[in-house]
Amino acid sequence: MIEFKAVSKTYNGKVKALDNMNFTVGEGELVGFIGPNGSGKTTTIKLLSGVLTPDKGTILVNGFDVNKEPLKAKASIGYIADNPDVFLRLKGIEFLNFIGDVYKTPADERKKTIDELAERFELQNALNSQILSYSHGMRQKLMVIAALMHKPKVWILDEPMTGLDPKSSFELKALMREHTQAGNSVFFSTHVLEVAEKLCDKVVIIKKGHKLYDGTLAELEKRNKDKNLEDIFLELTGKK
Amino acid sequence: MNIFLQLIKITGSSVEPSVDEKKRSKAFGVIMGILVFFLIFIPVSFFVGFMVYALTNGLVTLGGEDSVSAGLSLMLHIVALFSVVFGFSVVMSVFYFSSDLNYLLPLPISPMKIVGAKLASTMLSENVMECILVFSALVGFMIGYGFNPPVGGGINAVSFIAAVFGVLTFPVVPICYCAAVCLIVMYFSKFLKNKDRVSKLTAFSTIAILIVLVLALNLSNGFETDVFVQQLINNDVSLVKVLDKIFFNVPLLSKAMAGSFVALLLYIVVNAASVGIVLLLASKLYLKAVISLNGGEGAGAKEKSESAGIRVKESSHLITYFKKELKILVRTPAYLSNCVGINLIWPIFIYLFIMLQRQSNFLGDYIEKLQNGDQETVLYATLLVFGISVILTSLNCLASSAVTREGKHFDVMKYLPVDLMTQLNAKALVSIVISGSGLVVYIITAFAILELNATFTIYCVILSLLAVLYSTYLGIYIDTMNPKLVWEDEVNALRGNYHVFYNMALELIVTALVCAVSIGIFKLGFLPVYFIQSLILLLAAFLSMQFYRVVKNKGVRNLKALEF
Repeated sequence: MIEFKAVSKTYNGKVKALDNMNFTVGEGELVGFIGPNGSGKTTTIKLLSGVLTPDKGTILVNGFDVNKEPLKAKASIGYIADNPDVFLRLKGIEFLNFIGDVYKTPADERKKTIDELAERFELQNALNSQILSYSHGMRQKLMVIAALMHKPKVWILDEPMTGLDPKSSFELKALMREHTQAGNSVFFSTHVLEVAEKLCDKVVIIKKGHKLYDGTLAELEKRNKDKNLEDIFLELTGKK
Repeated sequence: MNIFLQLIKITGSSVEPSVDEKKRSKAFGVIMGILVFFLIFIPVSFFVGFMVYALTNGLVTLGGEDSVSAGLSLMLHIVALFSVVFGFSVVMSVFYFSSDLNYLLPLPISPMKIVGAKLASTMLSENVMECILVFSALVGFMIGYGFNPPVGGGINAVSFIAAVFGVLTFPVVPICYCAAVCLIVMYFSKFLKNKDRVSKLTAFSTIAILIVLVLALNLSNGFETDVFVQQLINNDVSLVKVLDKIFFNVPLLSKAMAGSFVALLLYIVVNAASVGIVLLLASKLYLKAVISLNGGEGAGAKEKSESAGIRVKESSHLITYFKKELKILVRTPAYLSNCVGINLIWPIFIYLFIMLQRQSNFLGDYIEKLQNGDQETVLYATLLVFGISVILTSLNCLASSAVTREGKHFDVMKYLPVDLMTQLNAKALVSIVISGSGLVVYIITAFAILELNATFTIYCVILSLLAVLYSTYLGIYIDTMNPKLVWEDEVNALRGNYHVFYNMALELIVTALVCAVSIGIFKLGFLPVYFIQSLILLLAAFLSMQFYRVVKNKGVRNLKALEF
């Protein structure tokens, strides 16, 4: 469902953020994307969501080339950016309606999803207030509801757990699992290795724009016996 | 680097263009800067300088040696008054609501130093236009008084030193006024400890001060230069008398300009004392007020106890984006006052213009000719509608800040599955609806009062809407070239964005060309007026289409290439 083929990206012609990056996320896979600060995680996610254009390489999402058919590719993903402080003067429900219109979600389907997810994330009583009045966690929950409203097959999430309380974090992780069990894909970046360890089928580890590892956690642990993911990560990224 | 200088750099960073913005369009910035300088700054400076020169000349000629600098004082008072009017929102924003406070307040820096740095950066940001205006006024005075034989000659070395001090330090007292009032009000008032309320109050105060200013000019009997100069000699202009007491630095600077060394010394002392008083107030009042602030009207609002019912309604991409833009504009106080509310203040200036011409009744003659269908007058009216429509559209900066307003979440424009041109069209539609509806109401009302015929009214409405259309797409295109996406708050997004000046400079060129060519053709007798009017209408339609195409091709390409 996601194919990232030989992608390179340089900023201002000087700073190489990604160098010949390759990975795939198949159907039913939940893939964690980990790497130190400045390793190129957000650049990768911005390339996947069509915010940035690659210098070289091809990015396919649900069979659509993000650069050749951007609108179709974007319409087929659910994207949560790293910053939920968006359109703060809109009310929660206005923002959800706006996103529903943008993704052309039918009104009845939209209402059903909003009701269900707002209850799950305990946000139903805040939807008629301006987003400006929300805490960081509430804003993040709203972004999650907005991203999932059009039932996208592929979820791309940049640090989605940041700011969520334990219950909401649990709910989101459960949603991610349910989504992949239904044959869809989830690709998310995180700094919390325990989350990746418990949740993911696969991990992609990068450092300074280069891929260090791409495979299952079981295989990684098999290669590094008696070590947990934290130790392996620190060794791979040269921090230990 | 000295901690105070570092603080000035930090607090001033939000009004400066970011490194990326500087890189993105250096050549464009230079070209537009030159155009703005010659088309806006020079004419405004010339007007201010000439007004002061004319008044000074009149005062000298009519024998008012004691009040020879009254004309200069009047102009400086107006500059100071506008500094205060616009300074309040800037001071409030920089002192109390800028995001750098989250980092500065926990640091072991005294409130006096923080306020000192913020005061300095506010003055620097306010200084450019003010410097030009004060400089022009002082030059006008020097020509009128010093180089005007045989009566002149009062200019001496003190005048030149005073001129240098005046140009460099004139914003000090007005900004200190704003700072002192803000420090006191924010310390004692609970009501104002909210960004949105402050913004709304300053917007309301701006309009109120403008109305008071117009009324205080006491123009009920019209305006006649000789009478006004005589009133100045007799010190009989109530506005000047009041302002002399409020802006006590102005008469001192004016007297120093007329050669008084004592006045120059007092002017310097007054400026230093103003800064001292503000710093003293800051040390006592600032910290307690700034740590008890709310972000905005919605900030801290409690969840509603019950869901008020979830309304779900489908709309097209264009309509939903338009509604989103409109809601944000109306609910954000800085946008509400600067982009939407500004369209409501023009009747005040129309009233001022009508009052100013009352004595000569220039407008009465003109209206009579227009009602009688005088060809030349009809052409002037047509050109006036065209010019006013494009200038007012560019002044409200709805179009020239369309992309800039996205700020740090510009990314959203890129990742939404909505064509970029549709998004820009929605932004254009907001500008067209707000600017266009205001102009249509003004035209229909004015034409109905003047009893002009329906055909001409309909023609002018269509012409005005086409002018709004072209001005809007031109403004949007300019903003796509180098949007200012890094800003502290919405006030900075608008004030730090020079695109409104660029847009206006280009509009002035086009309007001047249209006027020159139309009048030229008419005077040479090549074509009848109705034919020239048709050509102007076609030109407006052509420009609208062309700039729409420019936005569709180049504007969208600019946004695609913009990585933030």
